Amino acid sequence: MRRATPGGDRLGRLARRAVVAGWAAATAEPAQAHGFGQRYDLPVPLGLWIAGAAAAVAVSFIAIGLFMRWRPSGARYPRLNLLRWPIGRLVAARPLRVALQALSLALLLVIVAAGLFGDQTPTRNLAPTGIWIIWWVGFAYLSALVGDVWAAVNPWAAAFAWAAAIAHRLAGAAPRAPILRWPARLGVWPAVALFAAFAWVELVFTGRAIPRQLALLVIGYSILTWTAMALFGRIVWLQNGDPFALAFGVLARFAPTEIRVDGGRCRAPSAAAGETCMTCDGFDHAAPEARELNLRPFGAGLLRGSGVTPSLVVFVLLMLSTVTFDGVTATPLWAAVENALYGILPGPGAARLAVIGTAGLALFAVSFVVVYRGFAWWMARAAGGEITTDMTARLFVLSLVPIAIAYHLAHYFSYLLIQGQLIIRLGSDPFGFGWNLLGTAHYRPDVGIVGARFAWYLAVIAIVLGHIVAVAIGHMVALREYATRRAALRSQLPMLVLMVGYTMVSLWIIAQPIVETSRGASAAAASGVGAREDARQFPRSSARKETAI
Amino acid sequence: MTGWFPTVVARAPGRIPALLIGVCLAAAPACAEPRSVELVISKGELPQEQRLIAVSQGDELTLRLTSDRPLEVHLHGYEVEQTLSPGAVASLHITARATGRFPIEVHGDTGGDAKVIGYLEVRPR
Repeated sequence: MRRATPGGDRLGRLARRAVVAGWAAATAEPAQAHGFGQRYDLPVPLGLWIAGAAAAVAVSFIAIGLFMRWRPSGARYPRLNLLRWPIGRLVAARPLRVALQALSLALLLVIVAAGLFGDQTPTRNLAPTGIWIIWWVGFAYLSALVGDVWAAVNPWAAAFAWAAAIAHRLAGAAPRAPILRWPARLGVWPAVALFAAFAWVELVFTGRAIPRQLALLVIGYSILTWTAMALFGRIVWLQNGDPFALAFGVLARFAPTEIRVDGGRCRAPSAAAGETCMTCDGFDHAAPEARELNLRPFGAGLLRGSGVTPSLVVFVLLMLSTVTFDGVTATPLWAAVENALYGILPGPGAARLAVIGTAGLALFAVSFVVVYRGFAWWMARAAGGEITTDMTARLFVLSLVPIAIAYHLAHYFSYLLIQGQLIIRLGSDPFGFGWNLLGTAHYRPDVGIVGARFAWYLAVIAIVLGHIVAVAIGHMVALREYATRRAALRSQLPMLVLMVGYTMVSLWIIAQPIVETSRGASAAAASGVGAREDARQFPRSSARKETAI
Repeated sequence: MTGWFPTVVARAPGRIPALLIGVCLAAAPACAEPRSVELVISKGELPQEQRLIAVSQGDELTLRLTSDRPLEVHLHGYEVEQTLSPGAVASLHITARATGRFPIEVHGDTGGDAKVIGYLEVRPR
C-alpha cells in the first residue's frame, strides 16, 4: 500500500515531519545510555528521597527484631497449583504455547526483515522499538512480575526444537545425542561473556538504534545460538550458555509463578544434576498428575540458593551492575566524568566516548564483584567462619535480585509507557514504508500518559518494597543455612549494610536530573558515525523515495 | 488513513482541561498562569541561568526566542519546533499539560550539529 491520494501523501509527509522533528533527533544520543529512546522523568524530590531512605533503614532494623524470634521453615513456601482450575490448564496447554512460539518466531522474522530492508530511521522501523523496549524491557517486567514467559515463547529454542523434530521425522533416525558434552568447569561463563557483550551493545555501542545493525546482531546471535544448541544440546545451552534464558530466568525467580514436576524432583533426561526441573520440556514429558503450575509468594524462587554456582554469582552481579550503570550514565555526575575524560583522551570523538563507556561498564561490573566478594568475606567472618566466603557468596547473591528488580521497575516505568507507545504506530508500519495495516500509523505518543507524581510514588514504593523483600530473603536463607540463630543474624549485619547501600544508590539515581551530554552528541555527529548521523539522513532519502513514486 | 489521526489528537486536549479545572480549583492562587520567557541564544548557547526553565503543570508557556545565528529550536516531548533567524523574535507556545523534564535542542541550519541547550521542567502542581 503506497500513498495513493494527495491528501494521504500530505498527511504522510506531515506525520513524517513530526517524526523527524521529534523522534529521530531523540532516539540515539550516543551519550545517553540505554538501547534506544528518550526519557523525560523528573527527578524524585528531596522529601520523597528522604522518606524512602528512612523507610529502607527502618525496615532493616525492624527485620532484625522480627527475625530474632521468627523461625522460617527452610526453603518451603505456600504453593497453589493453578492446574486445578480450567484457566490454569488453559495457560499450561501445549497448543497455546506452540501458538505463542509460532507468533514469537514470526515477530522475530518481521523484526529482522524490518531491520534489514526497512526505513533506517530508528523510530520508523520496528527493530529498535521491538528489541529494546518491547522485548528487553517488556520481558524483564514480565519475567519479574508474571513468570518465566521467555522460557515458554523463546523463538530460537522453539525453532530449533521444530527443526530437530522435522529432521528426525525425515531421516527416521532416533534423536542424536549432543556432539559435545558441556564441561562442568565451564559453568555459565559463556553466558557471562555473552551477557557482557550484550550489555556493551545496549549501553555503549553507537549503532544500537540503527535497524540494520540490530538485525545483523540478531542474525549473528541466531547463528551462534543454533550452532551451540546443535553442539551441546538445546537445553544444556539454554541453561548454561544463553544469556537471555539465564537473565530472564534469574528475574523470574522473583515471579509469583513456577512450574514443577514431581514435586520438584526431576526425571527429565536433559536436566543437569541437582536441577529442579522447571523447564517446559520436563513439564511436557511428565505425567499430567505430576505437573504443577504454582502460584507462590513473590521472591520465593530466590530462596533456593544452593544451586548457584560461582559463575552464576558473577552472572547475577553482572546483571545488577549493568542495570545500575544504565541509570548512572544519565546523571550529572557521569556527565561530568565523561566530560573530564573526553578532554584528556586522544583520538576521534566517537572512539573516546566508546572507550569511556566501555571502561565505565567494566568498572561497574568489576566493582560489583569485588564489593560483593568483600561483603561475603565479612559475612562469613561475622558468622564465625561456619560457612566459607565462597559458599556465602553463592548462598546470598540471589537475595540482592529484588533490589535490582525494584530499581528496574522504577527506572523504566514511564520509559516503557511513553516510548512503548511507538509500537502502536509501528504495528501498522513496521518497515517504515508508509503502510497503515491497523489504521494506527499516525498515532502520536502521548507524553503525558503518566504524571510525574505517580511515577515518583511508584518508584519510591517499589524500591522500598524491593528492599524489604531482599532483607527478608537474606534473613530466611541465613536462618536456614546457619546452625545457630546467632550466627545467622550476625551474618546478616554486613548484608544489611550492603543492601541499604545498594538501595541508597538506586534512590540516589532516581533523584538525579537526567542529563544529556551535548558534547557526546555533537562529537559523534561531527565524526560522521553514530545513529544520530544516520537518522539525520532520513529527510533526504525519503525525499528521494517520494519523487521516485 | 485520515480517519484515525484527528481523533487521537483531538481527544487528548479534550480530556485534560477538565482535569486541570479540578486541579485549579484546589490551588486557585497559583493556577495555570500564562508565562512568557525570553531566551537569548548566543553562539548556539543559552546563558547559564536559563538552562533550566521550570513551570507548573497547566501553565500556558510562551518561549520568546532570539538567536545571533540561524538555528532550528526543538522542544522534545511536546514536539514543537521553530526556525530562528538573527534579529527576529520567534515564539514557541505550549500548554504544559504533560509533566516531565524535556530537553530543548538546537540544530544548525545545515541539520548536523545538534545539541541540548537547556531543559524545560514541567512540575506537577
